[in-house]
Amino acid sequence: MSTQRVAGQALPRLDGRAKVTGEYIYGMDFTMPGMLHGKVLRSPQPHARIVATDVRKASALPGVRAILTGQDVPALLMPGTVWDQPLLAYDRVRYAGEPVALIAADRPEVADEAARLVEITYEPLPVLTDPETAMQTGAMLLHENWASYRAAEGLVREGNVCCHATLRKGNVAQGFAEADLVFEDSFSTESVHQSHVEPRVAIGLVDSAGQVTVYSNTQLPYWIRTNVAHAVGAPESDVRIIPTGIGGGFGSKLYPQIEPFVALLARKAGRPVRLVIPLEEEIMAGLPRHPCQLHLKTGVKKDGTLVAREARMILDTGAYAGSGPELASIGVLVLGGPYRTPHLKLDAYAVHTNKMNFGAYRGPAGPQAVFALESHFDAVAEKLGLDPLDFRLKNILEEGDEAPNGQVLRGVGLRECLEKTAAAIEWGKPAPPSVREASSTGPMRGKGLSCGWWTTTGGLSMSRVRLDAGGKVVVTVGTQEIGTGAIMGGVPQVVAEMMGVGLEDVRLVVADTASGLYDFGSQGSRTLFNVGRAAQFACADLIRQIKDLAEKMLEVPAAELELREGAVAVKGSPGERISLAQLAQLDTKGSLQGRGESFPDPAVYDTSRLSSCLYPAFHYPSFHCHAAEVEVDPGTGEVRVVRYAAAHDVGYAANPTLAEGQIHGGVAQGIGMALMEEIVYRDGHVINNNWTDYKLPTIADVPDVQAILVQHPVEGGPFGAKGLGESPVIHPPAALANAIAHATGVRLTSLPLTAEKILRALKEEHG
Amino acid sequence: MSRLSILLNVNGQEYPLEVEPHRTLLDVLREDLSLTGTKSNCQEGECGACTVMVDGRPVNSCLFLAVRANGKRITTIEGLAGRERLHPVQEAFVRHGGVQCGYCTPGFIVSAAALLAANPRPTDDELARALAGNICRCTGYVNIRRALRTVIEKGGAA
Amino acid sequence: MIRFEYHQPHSLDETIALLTQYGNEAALLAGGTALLIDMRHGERSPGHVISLWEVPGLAGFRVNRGFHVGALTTISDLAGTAAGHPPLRALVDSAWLFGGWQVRNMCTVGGNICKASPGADMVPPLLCLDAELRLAAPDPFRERTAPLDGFLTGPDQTALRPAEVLTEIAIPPPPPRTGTAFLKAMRRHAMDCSIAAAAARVTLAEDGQTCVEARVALGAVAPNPFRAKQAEALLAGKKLEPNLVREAAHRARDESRPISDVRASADYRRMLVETLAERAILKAAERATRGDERR
Repeated sequence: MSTQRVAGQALPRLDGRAKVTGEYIYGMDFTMPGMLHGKVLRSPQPHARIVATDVRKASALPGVRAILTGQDVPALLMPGTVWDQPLLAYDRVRYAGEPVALIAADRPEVADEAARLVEITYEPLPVLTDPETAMQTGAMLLHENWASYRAAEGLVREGNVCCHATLRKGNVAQGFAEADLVFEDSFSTESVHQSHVEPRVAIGLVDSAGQVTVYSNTQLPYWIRTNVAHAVGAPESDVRIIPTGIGGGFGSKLYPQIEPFVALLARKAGRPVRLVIPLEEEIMAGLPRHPCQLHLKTGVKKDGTLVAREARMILDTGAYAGSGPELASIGVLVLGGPYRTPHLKLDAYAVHTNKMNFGAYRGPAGPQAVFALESHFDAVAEKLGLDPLDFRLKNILEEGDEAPNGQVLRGVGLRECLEKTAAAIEWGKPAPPSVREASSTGPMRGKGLSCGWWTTTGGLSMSRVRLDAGGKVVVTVGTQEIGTGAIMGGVPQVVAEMMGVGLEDVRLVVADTASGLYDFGSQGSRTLFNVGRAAQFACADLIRQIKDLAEKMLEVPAAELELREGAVAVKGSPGERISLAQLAQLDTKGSLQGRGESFPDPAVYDTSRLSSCLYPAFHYPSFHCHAAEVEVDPGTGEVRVVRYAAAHDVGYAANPTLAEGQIHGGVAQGIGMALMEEIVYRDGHVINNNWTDYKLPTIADVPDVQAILVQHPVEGGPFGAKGLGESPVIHPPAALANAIAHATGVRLTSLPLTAEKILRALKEEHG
Repeated sequence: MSRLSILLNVNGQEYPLEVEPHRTLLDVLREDLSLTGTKSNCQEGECGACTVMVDGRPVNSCLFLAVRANGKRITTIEGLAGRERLHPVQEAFVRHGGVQCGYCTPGFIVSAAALLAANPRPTDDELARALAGNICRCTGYVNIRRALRTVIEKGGAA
Repeated sequence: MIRFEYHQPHSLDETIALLTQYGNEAALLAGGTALLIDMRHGERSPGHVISLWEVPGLAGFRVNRGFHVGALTTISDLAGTAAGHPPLRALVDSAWLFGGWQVRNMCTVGGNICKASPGADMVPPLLCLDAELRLAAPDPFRERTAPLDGFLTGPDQTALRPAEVLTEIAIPPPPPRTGTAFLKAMRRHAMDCSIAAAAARVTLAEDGQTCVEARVALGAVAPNPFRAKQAEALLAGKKLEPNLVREAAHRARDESRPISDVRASADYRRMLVETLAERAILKAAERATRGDERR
């Protein structure tokens, strides 16, 4: 597809070899001499006052080196969109699993034993687990002092609702009056965990001067630094976060769940402390996806033209605000969708309950809102007697159109995505047997689709590029490779392309926070776009310096020079050149160094339409369509995903294999959310915090997903690239729900679409 | 707590060790022998990141007592590459996008290498059956299957 | 903290002596998967773990007036060796669906029986095959044989006597024209315990149509896997018409006593029994018809 030398090619990634040999060092593989082993003691109560704490027995256990409870650390509230969460619970716990004590000991078993010996007396409080109940006036407040909390400007919040985000366009009452038909549907979605195969782990050290160092498998070192500094009461410049290799993150490792703890324990113990969060704690006290309730109401013309839409999305944000407010805002944009709708009234609420802090998981708020919207649209299309594909094609936005928030869309590859996906899945053929005629023993087959739009998050990324000995090009960035290949594949390829060298001559260095190379992190579909862009600017800066130097040496104006084949050469002339290796030799002071920063302008939108929206626009938006074909076993309700096609308008694919890999992987996670994953709560307690009963898709559950790369470039990203990492996960629940409805005639509105739910629905429908 | 003397044969090399009986093969490999290529995660035999071969058969080393491995032939990821070349499965994973974060990769490669040693031409069903005990959260398995199919088609070379 | 003394007896007598000596403090190590997980969760804390792996003669598969499966035979080894014997297909079906490959290489048939989970996957096929257990015991009993049917006495409970060791599972020679099948429902397409499981055996008369004898065994829908004897009685001596098979499946459903848990509701499990029992019977009958052909 690409005519470029390096960028756009399916080349092996730089970290591939080390990963297949087992040499690559992850956070879990790190050790420090003399390190102690940490343990977090967690509240067994979902809601309680802490009445008394006694650590004497625990402290007396041989091998215990430090114990800290909420009484031993400052009663700080940690930074965030709302500053509502204590560093360590001191008078009250608001979810089962909330940290109440920290222990460091010589051996992990000793730390575990000490945790069992800590005596904490709880006075249980009423437990609130239903967000709709929590929203009602007079509901018990989880945060009586909510009004006194520091919070982001513009946030609308009250009581247990820590954010009420809205989008208003036109007049829905008028719209519904004008519509020929009005339809309503309700949906619910479950919490699913990122389930990175590498646990969360950090090692903290504090030296005698109070300098703090934390090794962490974090996706966002600078935010960790802010939180650690706040926790220990030191300036950020005294805190150094060193990112280790990461075995998957998907948003989970954006949060400072353990780094402040290892810093505090290391300071108390006077030795390095390593803390690993075992799987059973991660599932019950991590930051998984927000469970949601959604209600949609749509007014349409008989021919399927959208007229008005009203939507209400309730995100259960758990005990503390965390990412809830931002995600409510994203939910609103997803519910608006890439559709022409004259009248919109969209409301999203982030609501507190006595459950763990739900957090950002790949495409946060996306699959929930898309599941609701795209299922609802299929239901509407069906009632109108319209093909779901035609219904989409009739209403989708095109180049230059205005999105629901008023931003003007460019590089809109949505129609192409729909058409290519439909062709790949052979949409429309064969016609399924009528449900009534379906045999009771043969499988039922059906197809379904889902389409939408998503963001490329902005934020600052910084990069440096320099010439090393031998003419190697060394790129330094401030955020770590989490697996997508953006850092160890896309960025080096973009740099190699610009510098006129082969990929084998590029080195990628991930700098820690001491370097000051700020980065907003490996998240939000932003990494290739922003880090790549920063690296491009750095390359441009370096190239200018190289040409200035070469100009003097070759006595040819810089404008007539270009970089190719590892050298600076005169355009159109084969002979005159200086190799980068030669230039590097001359530059003995290492002053040939380019600097670049990416801080893209946010998209312009109509501010009058939005309220309390911390994420008000989808910058450099991507467009996508997924389609699934399923087989449903009418005797068991089991679903087999027979075929799956997914088209993504990525603007530009820096490496098609890596881009396809994002699509494959996102679809697999989406299949998990659609069919089998669920964190199950009972009375405020997670009852399936292990992988025996939290089921992830295996190789037998995911078909050969056909990834289709569509490229409608936008100016801004490297060679026109848009973000890709998250969007593949947002569509499978909707595509599969629609396929199952097509196959069986029953529409399920609650995730996951388990075999049990399907079989029950079939029996109710057909007897 | 008494330790037992065992002799572990790992990747063709013998290691005499004194271990407490409750320690798993996973912990002994990673902590006592510094062979950290084999990964630790779920501790319940559900993810396969800890997969090693015992006498050519993949097992979950997190549930395998080290003392039980006495005298057995253990193969870890570190033992698969040859002196000059990577194992064909390793090369294929790199070439065909079978690796993203890479944390599941050693376990996957050990399982796949064991499968192909026992059955050089597995069908897709046999592939799935052999690899269902290895969870990947990044790749969706698509490029893993693709990589392995290229090895199978080439009769063992990547 | 997990702490234990580890013993590696080299004979059955030595094993039994250790079990006698340490009584409730002792646990046998077979596959070890359930034992280690239980120890980590604090559900079991034996002071003495007795490995069976150095005791000769406990693993293996012999054909001699029926089939003899050593208790320490791994699930993968069983899948391989039983595959050559068509009447044992239900065992092979179950073995291939048992966990993942790693788990199949570690877990043993004897361990699966003695752990006695409600969903022990090896048990329904063995019940269909009228399996008997050979148990070695301290003097003066030395050895006894007990039918598998009735040996499991509750969730995680068996009729094993103190210091007794399961050594072998004996399967009497199946009559001619016998087919067996095993099906299980899971929450994903691989690597899961049974939500519900059904095994069936059909032995056909010479006419190739009349069912002489049937077995229907269900797993994960009662405190232990069990034979649905009313369902079996319905099929005996009859031609296996679809309606009859469906009715037998209804009976099997009514004989089940499933619970609701985080994996599935009791209602759903009953629905599954109906489907799986019907399909298992039909598949067993089909295999009985085909005789020695592998299918």
